Amino acid sequence: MRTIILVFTFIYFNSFSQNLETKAKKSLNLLSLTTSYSYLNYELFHGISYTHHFPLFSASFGLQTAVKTLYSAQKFFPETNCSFVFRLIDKNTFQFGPSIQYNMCNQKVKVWHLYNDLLLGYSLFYGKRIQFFHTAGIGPFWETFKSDKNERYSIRSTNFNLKIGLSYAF
Amino acid sequence: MPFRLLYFLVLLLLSCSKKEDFSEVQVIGHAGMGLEMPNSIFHDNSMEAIELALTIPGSNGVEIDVQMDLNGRLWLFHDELLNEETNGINCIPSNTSEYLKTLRYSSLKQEKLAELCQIPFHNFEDKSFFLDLKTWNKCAESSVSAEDFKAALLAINLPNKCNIILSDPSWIPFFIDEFNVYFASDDFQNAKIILTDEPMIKGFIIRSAVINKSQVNEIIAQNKKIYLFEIRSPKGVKSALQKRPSGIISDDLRAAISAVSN
Repeated sequence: MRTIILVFTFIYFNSFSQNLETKAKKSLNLLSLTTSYSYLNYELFHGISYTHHFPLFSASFGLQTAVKTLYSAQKFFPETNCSFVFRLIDKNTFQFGPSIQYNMCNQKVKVWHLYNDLLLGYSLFYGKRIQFFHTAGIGPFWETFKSDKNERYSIRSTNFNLKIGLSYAF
Repeated sequence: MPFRLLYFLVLLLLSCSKKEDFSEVQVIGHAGMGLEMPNSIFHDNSMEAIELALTIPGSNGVEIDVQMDLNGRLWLFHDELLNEETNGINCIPSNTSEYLKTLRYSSLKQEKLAELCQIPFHNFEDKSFFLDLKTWNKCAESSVSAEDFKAALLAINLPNKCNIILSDPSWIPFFIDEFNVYFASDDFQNAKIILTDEPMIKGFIIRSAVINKSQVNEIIAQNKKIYLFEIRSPKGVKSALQKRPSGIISDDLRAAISAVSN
């Protein structure tokens, strides 16, 4: 019984404590410059992302390119990603919560290799007009490519991703 | 205006890349998908890493480390001591096949220790195999028998004229007739002497960082092949390729293939 009361209290304070005015305030758009490190890709990705803070959660969409591959090998290694963050702690200048992130990237290694990962982790935002954000996640990773014999080859592993960024709210 | 500037910067970046043709340089996977690469999906010298390296389009083959156990069976393992990378103890030459069959790497996927005879050579007939023979038994502080090692290799259905890498010059006469022998050393001058003394040696294996382009050309002028190793980044790949060796034994196989297949 105590657990049930505790869970309901927790949900009440985290989800329904904001009045409509506060909720309206929290809906804002952010444009960010991002840098992320993908452990299995052994790469640093730089790019831009767009985030929308809904009253309870944030959704973002980003485009990035791998830096090492671009500068050392003059090859384009693009990544697209989207993420959702449930803002468990939502103070005036600080937000924190669990996140789910999906990344997809394509690399030309004679043939195209497709990398997908689905990461669970956390995100935090700090600031008002200019916000700093950080996301970390861990989860399954798939690499898919076509072999010389034209057979589809797929490998599964566990990836880890760290992301930081600087956003401007408008 | 900002978009024009961005467009100009992208054009500038792309125009700076001078494309060179490295298609004649072979790309070999070091211990499969790279030796001691923390981000590698599979452990070095595991069957999974070797099969992946042989399957990736653009890879010309693999270099693998071979050690012989007490029963004369051949295992793929790089280090001298088992406890550094597996759940086993002591060294491969001082353990039995039965014991080694039970061992697994201490990695995320916990791959089994692989035997040389498990490699499906017939599925990869167009690929090159370089077997780096580990001759030293650290646990007994002695060298294993070259004759026994050769007999163990000949008992396996290896591809025709398999490539053998030796760093102990005294082992060369045992293998030179049946295999393509490559001499491995970090000492370029010593290697030149060995290559002159043993005209049947196919080529030379050396760390990329300790050799320059003119030294590579010297070896090629002797009608020998030269392979560079310890290449762990796109920058290292580029630097190694510019020396124009016969091949590179890369720890970052994807970066190496990507650079060669411009």
